Amino acid sequence: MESRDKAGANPPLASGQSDFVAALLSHQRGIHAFLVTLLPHEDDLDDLQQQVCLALWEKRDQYEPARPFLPWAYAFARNHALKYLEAKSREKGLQHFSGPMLEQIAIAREAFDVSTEARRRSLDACLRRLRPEQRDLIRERFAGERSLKDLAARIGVSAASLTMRLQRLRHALLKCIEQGLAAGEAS
Amino acid sequence: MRQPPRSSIRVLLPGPDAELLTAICTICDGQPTRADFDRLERLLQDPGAMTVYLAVTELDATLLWKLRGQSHWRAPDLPGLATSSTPAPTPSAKPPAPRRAPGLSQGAATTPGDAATRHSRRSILRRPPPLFLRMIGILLAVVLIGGVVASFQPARTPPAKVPPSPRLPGSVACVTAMHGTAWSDVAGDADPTAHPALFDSLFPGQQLVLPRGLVGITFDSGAELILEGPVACEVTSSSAVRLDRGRLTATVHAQASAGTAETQFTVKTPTATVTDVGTAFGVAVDSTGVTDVRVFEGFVDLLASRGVPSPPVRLMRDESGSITTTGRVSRRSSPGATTFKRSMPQGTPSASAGPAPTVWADTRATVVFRDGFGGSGRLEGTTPSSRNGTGDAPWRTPAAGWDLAADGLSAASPGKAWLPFAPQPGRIYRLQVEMTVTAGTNDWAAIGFSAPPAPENPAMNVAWILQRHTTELDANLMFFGAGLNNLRILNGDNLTGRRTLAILLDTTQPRWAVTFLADGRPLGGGVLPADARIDSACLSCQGSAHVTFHNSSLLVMESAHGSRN
Repeated sequence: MESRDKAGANPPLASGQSDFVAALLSHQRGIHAFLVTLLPHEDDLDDLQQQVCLALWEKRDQYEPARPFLPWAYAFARNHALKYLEAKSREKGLQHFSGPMLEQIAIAREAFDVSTEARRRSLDACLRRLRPEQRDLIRERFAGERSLKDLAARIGVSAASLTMRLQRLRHALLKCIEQGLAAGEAS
Repeated sequence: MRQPPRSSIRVLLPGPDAELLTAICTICDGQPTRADFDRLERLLQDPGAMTVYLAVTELDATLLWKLRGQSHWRAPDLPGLATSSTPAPTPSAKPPAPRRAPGLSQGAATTPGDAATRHSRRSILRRPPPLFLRMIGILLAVVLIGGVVASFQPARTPPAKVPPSPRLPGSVACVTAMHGTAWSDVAGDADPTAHPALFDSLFPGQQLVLPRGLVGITFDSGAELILEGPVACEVTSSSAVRLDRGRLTATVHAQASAGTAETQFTVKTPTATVTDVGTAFGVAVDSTGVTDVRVFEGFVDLLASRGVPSPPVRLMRDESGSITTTGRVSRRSSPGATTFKRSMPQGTPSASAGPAPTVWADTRATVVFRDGFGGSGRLEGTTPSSRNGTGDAPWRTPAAGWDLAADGLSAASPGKAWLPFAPQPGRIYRLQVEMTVTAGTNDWAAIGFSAPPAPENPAMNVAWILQRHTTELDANLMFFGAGLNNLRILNGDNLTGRRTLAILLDTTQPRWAVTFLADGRPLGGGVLPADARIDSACLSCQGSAHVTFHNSSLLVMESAHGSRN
């Protein structure tokens, strides 16, 4: 273990920076969810999330550990989402929410944060209650690489029919989540 | 403005076919037109509709996060983290690429190098030279750090021989090969062991859900499995798995197939039990539960678990069989149509499993320090032996508000307390602390191992497990790595109250390993990077948390059989 004897191979970050790193690491999922809220039609947000995290890192000196991290991060995410949508719109004619609507959604999303963790936990139980074929469909839609059209073709239904199936599945899961939350609060 | 209580936001769902839900799902699932957006924007002017929209997109985000395959590695392409130094180069030639992961760590179908290159290109275009140099540093660091990332994509990875990790206590198997792997966890990602990396230990009850790729597993019984994604299974013991869906191939060597019930390897499916009798065989389960079995070598016994009870059907070499959902068994003298992977693709890193886990006896342990705290006054400068404990080294705790009390050590301000500790090779150490976090909501107290610390920083930089006051917002977490810029993060549990947290540090192998435990239950662990240094055992308190540490100890564990490993 020669390398263990070399002092300072990885000097610790300064306290503020390590606070920042801890915050950034623990809030990745929240940033991802925020981006999905603004761009629900984009299936692959990895690139955008990388950009947001890079921007946050570059502005880490402005981070105040005493203040909540997520609202600060959301401001970056919102700006980058806007730039991303404008660029995509120019390049590929991608349609998206209007600027004021995005602003409205972003503000509403921050307030919604207070219940997201409980919703995520409730979802776990709800997924277990789905029938195997329903779970498979959820898995194919959200884990798979296929477009909705390809997925519809593979399982032999029209895209419209598949969209409707997914809509009803979402409804079932949301209903189950709400019931789970209500039961949790009642107990 | 007063915030509503947590979890009080209720979503008044419309019917499953309501216009609002259709409008939202059209945006989420399709290629929406301008008219689709205009329609939804009109509907979202109603606050209740907006809440439904947020609930749907939160649901989608959670499913994407869970099912796209997460990686616990965060740091490799965290921009800027490599500015202070780069880690010691690892001897292996080229890093494996990460699996697809939404989020900060690894982007879709990218390698850490790709990610860094992306950042670099962007930054080079708009940044002055200092940042350029920094980004080059990032690229180098990403390439080097990436050497320990577990999963990989074969097209980008040359053949590599990776040394096996030590096995963790309580485990029954070990991941010994991976190829193009992505994990997911449809039943909840609270389980920290749901996404094992190469050479990670596997525990009884561990669920493995693999959307794609191949995973090789070696069991303590000697059986070797290849899981072929998409597959869902559970490790049930050192000689059994439950296969819920998908395909696996088992090769059971003589050691595991000596013919007794204890040593035979068993695959249970929704409709069948497949028991080896010295063999190599494949098992496939489709989405309805129908089980197909093919025998490559030796023979297996196939027993239906549904329908009228009947004796097992023995399948010989090159035979195949099926069991339907009603328990009907069919036997064919041909191999059958289902194909199985009998070996990992050439070039896949692999190794045999490490040694079997050791069983320790606390009563045989050597005490490095033991401190029950208690008394009064500041902790700073006092020794465990000064209050009937063991250990003459003085506690260091620069932070104020760390005071001895009748029931333990009370910490009411952020910071750390530590004792010097230099682990020696060839030992199993256990740092164990009993604690109660009494305030702080999402803030936490922790125990762990660290290298030269910034005293005011509650985080430790080698291995630590934290306990929050409440866990509504976040689970308890565990961290390990070498320095804060190279951390792997595991989710712990959601329990609160008086807890006994422990970290096992295994230095018996060239690469040291840690296992985290809460109330005696292993929650996860892994292998430390080669450049990890430890010089202290720490207690810490973060943010607004208040904690009482009741008992603490650091022991050198001895096996129940008298040797250390």
